[in-house]
Amino acid sequence: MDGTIFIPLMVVIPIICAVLVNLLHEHSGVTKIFGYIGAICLPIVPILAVYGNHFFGGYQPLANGGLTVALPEAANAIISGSFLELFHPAITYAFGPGQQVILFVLGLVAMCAVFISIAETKKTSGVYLYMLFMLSAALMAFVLTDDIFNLYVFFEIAALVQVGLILVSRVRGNYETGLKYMLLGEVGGSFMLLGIALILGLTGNVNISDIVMMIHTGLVNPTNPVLLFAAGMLIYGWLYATGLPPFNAIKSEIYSKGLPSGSMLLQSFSVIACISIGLVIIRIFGYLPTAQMAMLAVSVIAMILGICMAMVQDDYKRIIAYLAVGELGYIGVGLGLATPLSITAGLFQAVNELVVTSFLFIGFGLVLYKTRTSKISKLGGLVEYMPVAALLTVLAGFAMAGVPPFNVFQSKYLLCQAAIAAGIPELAVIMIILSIVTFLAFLKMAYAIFLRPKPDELEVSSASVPKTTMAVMIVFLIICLIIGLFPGLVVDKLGVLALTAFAL
Amino acid sequence: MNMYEKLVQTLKSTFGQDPEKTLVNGSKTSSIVSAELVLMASVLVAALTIRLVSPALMIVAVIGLMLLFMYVTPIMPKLYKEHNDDFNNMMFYAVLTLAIFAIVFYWGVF
Repeated sequence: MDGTIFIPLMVVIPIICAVLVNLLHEHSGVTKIFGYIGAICLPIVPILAVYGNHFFGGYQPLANGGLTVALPEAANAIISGSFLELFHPAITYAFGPGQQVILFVLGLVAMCAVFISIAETKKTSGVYLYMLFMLSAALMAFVLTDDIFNLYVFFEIAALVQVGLILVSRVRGNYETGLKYMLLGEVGGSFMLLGIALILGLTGNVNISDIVMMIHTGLVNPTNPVLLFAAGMLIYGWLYATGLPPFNAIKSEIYSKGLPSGSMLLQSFSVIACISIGLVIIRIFGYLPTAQMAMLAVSVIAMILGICMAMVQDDYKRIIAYLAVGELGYIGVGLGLATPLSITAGLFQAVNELVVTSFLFIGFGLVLYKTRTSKISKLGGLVEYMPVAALLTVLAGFAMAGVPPFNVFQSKYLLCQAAIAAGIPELAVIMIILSIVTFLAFLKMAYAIFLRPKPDELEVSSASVPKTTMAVMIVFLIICLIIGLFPGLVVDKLGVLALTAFAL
Repeated sequence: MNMYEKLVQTLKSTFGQDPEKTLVNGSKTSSIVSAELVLMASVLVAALTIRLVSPALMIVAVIGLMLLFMYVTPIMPKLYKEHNDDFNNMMFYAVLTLAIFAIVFYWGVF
């Protein structure tokens, strides 16, 4: 059996699970079993899959020798030796070492989200699991697809599922937030589609590799104003998908309105969209200094705004949400510098971000579970009630701030090196300043929630912390330590993906 | 009135309905002062990257930013008010950014 068959299965399996848990949602036990099976498959399939391309329908490029025998002589004479031979006639999924690392970590996060969702609810909700699986499928497709329109389709599916995750959370104000996110998505998503449509109009192609080849070999004029406008619209769509300014306020709001398991995947969407669409932009428009400058400028603003706004909040869910948005700026800086080292560092930061932010959402989700409040001013003394969970949550905060020996230290260090190597040491200075302030924000939050005396009016639930949630936090801590101590395990593979951004 | 009292007064009017009754504790004040300083430092350092476009422009930008900071400090309460969950604000900035991108990429790339 060809191992590349597992490539589409990474998307197909979660979709099948989503459909099944939704159809069988009235049978809690069956839903739970399908939920567990599907969740376990998510990180395993990327490990089993073999590197290569999957061509849907089996339609390979003619240069691969797949169809030339069936073509008439006259057609062969025209096609043979031309660019047409290299074009991809079908939707193509590309799977390499970089994609494997990202999908494995994403699968792990999605699996943990499903486990926590099942563990923390008395009756398993098939509808909620449906949304978790659909979002996972969309994110997997984001990483794999080499087709810009396929990317957009899954982007829209993911956007709708995100709204669904907010609507079912039962957090106060969730309906309004969901509606706002959809309306802003109308702006962000529509203009991204316009950019894709303009590229299709100019190149007649939606395969990203083909578009890159056409632009870089002069088949399409790279300075065509319509193409440049398309670049602007694609970057604008990237801002919306990622939650970089001006969409950072709504992104932080939706993170704070989701359940912890939902928020884990909501932030995963932002991270995966950031690298997937960001890499597409770098591949197609890497020759445009303006595109790189725009990405860098917005990313730096996101970092500064995210951390400054986090400092002035009194709600820890909003603090985590703003910090998560701010951390996305680091990934954007890596992509915007557009060197192989910086892109590798950006991808490395993204992988770490997937784990660490999920770790934090679960940790502070436990605080909410015990106290039913997210206002820092009303909290205190929780270390007495949940000592291990408190320690793990503080360690998660340290990991996000970039404290060694955790994984984010390595990625931020690599980002600083990349910024200096690219001749912009100012960015390294900003990243260091903001990491210190992130650490400060966590210290303040950890002291206020866990260490200071408990306010008299605070009621702490006597319910024990769910064992599954604790196990997931320990798994995340181990991952943070392993990647932090042995970064080569991840960086070498991500470096291969970064180099593909520069390949024709 | 010294600088600290002025700041606390601004914070009271920003974070509470009634400035007389609003309690702004030391922790909150120090957080906002930290955010204020980080914002200024980061923006000034970021402005140094304008040297890649033009060193003269960088000097003008940095001096301009310093003057701006002197006159508009404290910035964080204003930023907090502006950067809220109001849909009108969000849509305004989304459309403004779209317009900037459209102009820069259509006319200003080459």
